[in-house]
Amino acid sequence: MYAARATFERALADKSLSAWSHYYIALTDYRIANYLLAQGKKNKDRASKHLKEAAEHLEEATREDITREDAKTVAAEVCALLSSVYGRQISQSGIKGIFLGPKSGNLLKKAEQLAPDNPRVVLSAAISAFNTPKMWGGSKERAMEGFQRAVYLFSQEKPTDPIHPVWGHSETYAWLGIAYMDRDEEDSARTAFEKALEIDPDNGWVKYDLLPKVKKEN
Amino acid sequence: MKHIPTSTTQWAKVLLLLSFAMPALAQNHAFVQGQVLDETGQPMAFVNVHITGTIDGAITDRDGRFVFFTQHMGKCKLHASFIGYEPAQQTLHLTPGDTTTVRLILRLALIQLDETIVTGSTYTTGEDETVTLSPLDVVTTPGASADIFRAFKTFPGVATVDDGAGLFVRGGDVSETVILLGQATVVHPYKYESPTGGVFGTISPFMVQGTVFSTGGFPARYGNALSSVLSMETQNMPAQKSYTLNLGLAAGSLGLNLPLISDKLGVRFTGNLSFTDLLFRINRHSSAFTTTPRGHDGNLNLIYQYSPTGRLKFFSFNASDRLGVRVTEPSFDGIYKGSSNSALHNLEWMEVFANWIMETSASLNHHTARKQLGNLDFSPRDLTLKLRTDIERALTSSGFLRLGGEIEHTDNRLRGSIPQGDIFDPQADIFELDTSYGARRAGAYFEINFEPARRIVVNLGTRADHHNLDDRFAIDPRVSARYQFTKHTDARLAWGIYHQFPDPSKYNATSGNPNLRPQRAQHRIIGLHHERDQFMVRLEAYHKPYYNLVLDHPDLNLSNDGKGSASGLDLFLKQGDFLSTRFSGWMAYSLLRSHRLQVRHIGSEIHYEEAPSPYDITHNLTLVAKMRLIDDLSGGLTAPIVGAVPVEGQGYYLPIEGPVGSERLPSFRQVDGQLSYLLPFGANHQIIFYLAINNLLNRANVLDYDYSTDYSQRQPRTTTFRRSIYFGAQENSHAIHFTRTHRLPHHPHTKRICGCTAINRWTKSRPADCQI
Repeated sequence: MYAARATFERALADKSLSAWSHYYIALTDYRIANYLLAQGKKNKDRASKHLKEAAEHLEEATREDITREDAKTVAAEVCALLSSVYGRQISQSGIKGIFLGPKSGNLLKKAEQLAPDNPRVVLSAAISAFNTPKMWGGSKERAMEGFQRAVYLFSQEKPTDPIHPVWGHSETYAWLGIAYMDRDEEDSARTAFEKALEIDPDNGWVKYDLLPKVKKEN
Repeated sequence: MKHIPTSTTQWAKVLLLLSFAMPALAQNHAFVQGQVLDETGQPMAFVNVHITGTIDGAITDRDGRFVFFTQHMGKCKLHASFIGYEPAQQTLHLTPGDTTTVRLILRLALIQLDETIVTGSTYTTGEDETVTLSPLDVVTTPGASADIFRAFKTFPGVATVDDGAGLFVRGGDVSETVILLGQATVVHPYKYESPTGGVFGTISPFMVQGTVFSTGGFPARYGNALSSVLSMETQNMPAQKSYTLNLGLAAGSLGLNLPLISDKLGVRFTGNLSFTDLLFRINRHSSAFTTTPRGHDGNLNLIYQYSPTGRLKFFSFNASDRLGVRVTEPSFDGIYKGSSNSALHNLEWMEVFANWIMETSASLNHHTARKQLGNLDFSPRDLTLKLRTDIERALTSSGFLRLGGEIEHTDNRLRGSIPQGDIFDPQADIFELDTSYGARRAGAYFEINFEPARRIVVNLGTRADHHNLDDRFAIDPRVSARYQFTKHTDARLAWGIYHQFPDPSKYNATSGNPNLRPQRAQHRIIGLHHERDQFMVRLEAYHKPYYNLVLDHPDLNLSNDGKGSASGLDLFLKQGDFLSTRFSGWMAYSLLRSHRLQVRHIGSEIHYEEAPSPYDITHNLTLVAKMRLIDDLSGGLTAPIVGAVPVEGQGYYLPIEGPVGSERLPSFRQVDGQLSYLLPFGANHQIIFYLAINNLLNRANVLDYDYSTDYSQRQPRTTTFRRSIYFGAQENSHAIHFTRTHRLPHHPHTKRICGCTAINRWTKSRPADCQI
């Protein structure tokens, strides 16, 4: 992921694609941060730096003057990912929720307006609904519906441009499994995790963390 | 960084081979190769190296090496970057066919102000990952009796003068430590109050989310404290219903956490009943008490989150205690009866306005007591009202500005019958006392946290306080700085002026002096801090001169002629983390030299002498060791070993011939042990059984001397408890999950550790923590 990140950093020099470069740098930072956080508190500082970088790159991407045909797609993808990054920062430091919570919600709304059928936008909205307290608009039921809809949308997704993102299909099944676990529907959860591994056999989160938990509880 | 995709290395090699295999390419291109190292000379992999403004570049391999070709000729800048490090640049002059070799050094981007504690001498507890001790560490500290104050007594700079909870910091008296709960001052923070503080702290650890304890050099936001500050924060909204039941040899308690409206309105309650009779009987200590210490207290915490940015918190605390004890001294014999009632009510409002976070509170302390011994019947009462506001905003991505102000009004009333002669003589004249004192202090401060240079963080601030009984302002400039040597090691410096106003009764024109000025201290601190993984070491040296201390005066009753100083060295070593590691513990050592100008009464005359401070304890060593014996059984030992406390010599009741403080009490040594066993049952319940044995060595530590009427004989007064046992069980509902290796994300399906007694493993997945 570091190699990918460095490649996208160099790609920033190509101004015509710099919004996408910022997006992909942020995506690698976001994934590195999540990986580090799953390793425990010793990596928290490093993870925070990656989340901060991710947010800065995405904020930069929103400021880019995009004249490409896919401007709307870029904006939707950037908003959805930035919303998720803010959510992750809030989970690390509650006080940030005061500032970032409303921003995260607004970004998600904007992404949904721009691309209501983008599976990553739907996935981000569902994760947000799952993790957000009821008082602030969260809903487990809406999250479940979102995960299921995202599964369908990913199965239909046919990228028209190789630069457009295609990630998220395996993650959606992982989240669907988590939502089932939350409902104590262990069998459905296991099926979802197995489906996630079918799509991406190297999904370490599912392989080493989530699936063993279902098996253990059984 | 350790695992490099083979393809990357291969790609670099292929590129290198290609570059030599293609002369035509070489004629039109320049080759750039080199190595990127960190400050210690270690190669850095995955560093992005490229020519600024182009896409020409490469990623370093496992050995930090890179190679690429470019058509960009002439003067250009080579840029190397890696997250967490400061980028490096080097100017190149490229010509076709040439190979340029460079070496770049990347330096760690060391400082992130928003996550940095600048101030030295600060120890913290709570759930955050930067804390010195977790809540679980606090309650599992043997000898601490699950009391925050007693846990902090095991830290450097805090002297063990007896087996109570009083915080005597760096040569200062217990009154020089200010206790805060939120923004409110806890005027009476101890249960069973005594001249050395009290037996326990009044605030239950289960109501506290986190604490900050500073033994010196604290910032300008804290006022009217000469030596140290203990600041506690109350719990936030309960995530779900839970309860705690505790029954021990001397206390029973009930704790409830109820979210009344999910994420909007919640309540926390704890009630505690103390009954020490059984404890004293079992440990054979009951003979001295005519009424064994007993009491009850209750805490109520209401939290109303009325909007995503606005919150109201109401905290109410009420405690009563009483005891009766036979006072048998060579000079007299009688029964002392004491009772007290303390209450604290605090309403806090937090809101965000633009980019400012505002916190405002109004608090009320109320305390009444009655003390009876012979003909003495004394009833003090005090009332303290306080209003405080703090506002804070981030200045940039790092640094902040903080401003605030407070008004504190105190009303004391002293009533009672004071015998003028022998306290037990029924014929003695009685002076009927009924007097009131009022005082008002107003203070304001600013603090700014900034980064003037790489590796340096500074906290600069000033506060001003005004007392209505003193027409002058007390101005306290304060500064602390941190210099980061490496990622894990830093040096800290602090300097500041600290004022504390005398008790209002001392301004009385009859028995005091209306012209008294605030007492003043200067803190000078230098320290080194190193922390890596589970190991932490901190070494600090300090010098604290005192000025304007209140002293008896033959003509003025009281004066500000007192002065003195405290100098010392504090060492703190900590290894491991309770439950995360099999062994954990810490060692605190303090070296102290403290002296003050003190009064010596010779006949009716007053003489002044430079002498050791009353709590000048030269060596203070505390060892805390904990071990997980089997999966759910843990044990630990705490061993405070204290040099010696100067005898309160030459006072009115102790007319020892010789200079003040010329004799020292024997060393105070004690070993306390604790065992706890966790028994989970059902889906969401657990019971913790605990057994504590205090003073394992059964040592009679001397706290003072009692004298006969003619002072020809004396006998030592020793600690109340010799070897004693305490046991009990605590049940927790709703399996309050705990892990030290993961911070809990904020969503409804995570549970915060409440208080700290509950230990369990995760039974559900932690989705937000595991998202990759």
